[in-house]
Amino acid sequence: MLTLGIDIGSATSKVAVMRGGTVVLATALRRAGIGSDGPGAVLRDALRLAGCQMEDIAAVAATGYGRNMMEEADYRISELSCHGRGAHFLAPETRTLIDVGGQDAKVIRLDGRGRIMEFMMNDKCAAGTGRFLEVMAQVLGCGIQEFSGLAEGQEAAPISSTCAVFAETEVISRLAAGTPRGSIAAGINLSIAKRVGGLAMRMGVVPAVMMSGGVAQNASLVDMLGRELGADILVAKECQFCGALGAALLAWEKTRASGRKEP
Amino acid sequence: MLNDALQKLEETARSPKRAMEAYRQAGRPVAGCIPEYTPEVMVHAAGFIPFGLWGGETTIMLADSYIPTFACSLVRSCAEYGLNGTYRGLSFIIAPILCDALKGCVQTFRVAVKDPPVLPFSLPQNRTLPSAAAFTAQEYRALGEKIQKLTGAGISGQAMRRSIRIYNEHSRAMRDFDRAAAEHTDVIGARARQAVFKSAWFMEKEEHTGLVRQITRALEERPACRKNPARVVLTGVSAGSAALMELLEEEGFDVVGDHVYQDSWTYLHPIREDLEDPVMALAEHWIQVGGSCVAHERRRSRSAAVLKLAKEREAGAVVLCLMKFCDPEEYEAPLMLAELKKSCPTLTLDIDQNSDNLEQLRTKIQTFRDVLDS
Repeated sequence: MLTLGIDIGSATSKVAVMRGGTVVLATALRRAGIGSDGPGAVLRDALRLAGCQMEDIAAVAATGYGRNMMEEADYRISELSCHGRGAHFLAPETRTLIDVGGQDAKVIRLDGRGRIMEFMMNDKCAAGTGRFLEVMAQVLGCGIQEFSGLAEGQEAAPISSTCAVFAETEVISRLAAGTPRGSIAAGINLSIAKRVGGLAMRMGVVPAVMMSGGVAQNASLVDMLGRELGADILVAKECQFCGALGAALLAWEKTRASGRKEP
Repeated sequence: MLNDALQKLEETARSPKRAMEAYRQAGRPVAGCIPEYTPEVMVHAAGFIPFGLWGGETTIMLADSYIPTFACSLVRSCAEYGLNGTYRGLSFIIAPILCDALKGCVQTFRVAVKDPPVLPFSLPQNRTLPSAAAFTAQEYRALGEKIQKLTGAGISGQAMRRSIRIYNEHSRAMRDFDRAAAEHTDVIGARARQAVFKSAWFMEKEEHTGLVRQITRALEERPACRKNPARVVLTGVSAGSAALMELLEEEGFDVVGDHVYQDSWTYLHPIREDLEDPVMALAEHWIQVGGSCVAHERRRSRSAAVLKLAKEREAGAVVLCLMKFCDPEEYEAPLMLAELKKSCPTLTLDIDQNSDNLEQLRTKIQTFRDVLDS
């Protein structure tokens, strides 16, 4: 049985196609999220990579903030449930999952079967999210991909504001004072690590700790977050697909439980 | 009859301003009561229609000059409505000084809102002291004198006793509805339930009692029917908007009880009718308040009360509706959450009247449902 999970976030759209709830046939990503043509395009990409057509898919589960916009979806599942399930698939030892996406940050406690025991989300605010990093990267005149490398091994300049609006002013002031861009980037990473670390510690951190979402690709930030939490942080190479994989897995589980026939 | 009465209450809950205008056009004077624990009975006894001022979903523009963004949305929107003239037409507003934000709200009205005038009063927090009831009664008498000085309307002992009877009858009707609604969630979903309680703040109590009695009778004639297996109780100052209740319904939750001041919690205890001094009876009503974040207790009783209610109503989970930036409630929340979570799955939702972004709330509610189902 083929199932497809699509994670439509605020900044990116991701798809995973799976067979039998165990084999990943394809993953695809587009840097265009809700309200763009990203979801449609990434769906076509994933089907092409998996060598199948929409008619071959037994069930589609949509997740992310755009899940309700996905007409083809058989199931619409919250991204916390999908990320939790995806993390368990990627690393079953995970007990604390930290997901920092474009729009928000989430901390999820999982049991040994990948079920959510507890969860927390940040407030409706860009602080400590991928959006914050994007804004800061723009101010530093680099892309989000270069940002991590820029901060690598640099001493962090203090960035006290976690608000994207105030931090932008603070970063411009630092640039005007001649602070190296690498130090500013490291300072920005540290401010996010402290913010997300605070959220995680409010819930309590149980190892093993995994990080997912696009921000997990920022190695310098992951390192700082690990130091804040006093824990090693696992980052799977499929960290951006955690939600889409979880959606595909849950689609498979739900379809199997409902006894629906395969196409 | 059930649908007619429900529709009337839903309309009132949706459009309080319209309800206020209707009373005024009928020549009935209306007085605003800022929550919580405002002695509506006195306003009623003085011949005014007490009208709950719960703020609302509005964009804050004028209030930003007086009240910071980190004050609760209830206080900020009340101040906004005062400043932009929405409350004009009320004869006066009475407001308790129960937290710093309310103090700021009263000061804003005094400085920048001349119409309607605001009459503040204090409620003592050391309620176990023998003098606490006497102090409260003194505050109420002073409030009565201010109302008389402002409007010429005196409050007689006889009128107070009559109003207490009317309010106790209303409380009984609300408690009966609350119990009946929990067993008829096929008819009384979260939205309808909230509308019945919310409308009570914007309607003359005698009329509201009649409509609620009609609904309860109609429910009792029907066989009990629980729509969803996921039964929850709510707790907080306010459980937010009808849109939030709709989200709970969409995710398959039955709301079967609450410890929410804006909803049923205010009706828990009757006011004593056997005391010679009705003002003292009203004061004692404040003294016996338990389980409230704005009424100090040596041993906090709120979480135990919520868990007891959940057990009685066979609810499997609790939803803490946490008024964002409400100092007393946010101060109590960590301890209370720890106590609740020991016994019952608990979800925390931020209540913010000034934000219409429900997507994060939907994600939390949907995930909580997944957690319960697993």
